[in-house]
Amino acid sequence: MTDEFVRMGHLIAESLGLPGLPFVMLPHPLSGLSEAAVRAKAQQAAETALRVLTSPRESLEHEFTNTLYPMPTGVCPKVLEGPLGL
Amino acid sequence: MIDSKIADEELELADSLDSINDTFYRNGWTDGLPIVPPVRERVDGMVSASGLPADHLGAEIPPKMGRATVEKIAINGVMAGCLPAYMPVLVAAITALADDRYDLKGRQTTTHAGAPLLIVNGPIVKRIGMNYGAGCFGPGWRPNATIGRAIRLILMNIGGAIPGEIDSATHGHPGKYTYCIAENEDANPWEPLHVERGFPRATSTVTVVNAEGPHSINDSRSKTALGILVTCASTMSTLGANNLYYQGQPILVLGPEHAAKLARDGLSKYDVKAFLYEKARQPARLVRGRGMEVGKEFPRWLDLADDQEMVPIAHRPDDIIVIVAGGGGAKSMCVPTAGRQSLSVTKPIQ
Repeated sequence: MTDEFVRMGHLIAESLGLPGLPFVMLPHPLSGLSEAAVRAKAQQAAETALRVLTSPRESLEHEFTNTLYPMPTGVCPKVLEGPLGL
Repeated sequence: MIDSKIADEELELADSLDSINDTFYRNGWTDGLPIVPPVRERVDGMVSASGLPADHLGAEIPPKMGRATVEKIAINGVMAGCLPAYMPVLVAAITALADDRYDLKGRQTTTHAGAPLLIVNGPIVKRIGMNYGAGCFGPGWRPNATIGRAIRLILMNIGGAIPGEIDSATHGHPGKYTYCIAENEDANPWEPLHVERGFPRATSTVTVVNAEGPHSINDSRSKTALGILVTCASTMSTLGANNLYYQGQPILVLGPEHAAKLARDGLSKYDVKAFLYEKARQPARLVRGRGMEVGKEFPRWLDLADDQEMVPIAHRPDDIIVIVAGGGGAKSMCVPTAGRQSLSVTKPIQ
């Protein structure tokens, strides 16, 4: 998944009882790219993809359960403290 | 950022509306508007109005697969400001949304600006005082305002559609706060939606459709039915709307004046649909290479390589949803929908 949506994927996997489901992250976006650009992005992820496909499940579960996935860049923070008051 | 978690036990909070709302907002349990505290008496009143046991399972709501029991539906209904009399609509709507044809899992997580539009038919519309007339998509009527709001709270709080994190809509739209209308059956010259779908006129139903925001169709000048329909067809076939790429069930909400003119010229509801199916199209040369990839539901009989091919917004005339709602004025509304991967579902209101 791309880094913009991987947190969603992880949260859904977690809620379905698969917190250690491995995700291979690609830099967002993928749409509208030339074939060469798509191949370049795939190349960046190839090493992780190969490792995920060939590593023992237990070590992957431990690694990916503890992976911190980035908040999508488009999400605005909510102001909870400060001078706004109730 | 708020770490949204769902309460599964009763909370003891200070008897202060401000602090209760602060707690709910901090926990990510609201749509951003203040809520009505779901205290035990109010929740019990809602449960009782459903005629069902509190632990009766209405549906499991993806992607979190939270259990939408009657009690949890009631809690969100109270928070939204619903009256107990609205409860049967909520239960039926949740059952409809969980129907596989609606593809709720996809709708909860998509980047598309879709929200469940609820269309209510039958005697319950007048019994609970819904707006099917002037300004039906707008503010002012409690059932329209709060039933749609309760559905959004259920999708977030039980289904886990946390805005921005799970609900990945690029923009969303205001219908994600509430999106609930009734059909103006008195002004409909043809059979209303629920009768068209096989229900008796005296049965109340709710239809759910995953829909973008409504778009005005302004035509005060056309003297003929076909003139009005040319305007409708043009508005409904804009590049960028999902229905050109995934077809599905786009909606035409005819204002009563437009509907009366169409009927006066002898058109049946099917004639309206057939016209839109034939004329609300764009040439293949404009459609191809746009949108996302052609969806798996894209009509196989279309040749996108043929510049002369005209691409329709639905697979067949009857897929186009035509209803009548609204008040005075020579206007209608078109509502693009998600596409054929998410179909509308109608359920009876018990």
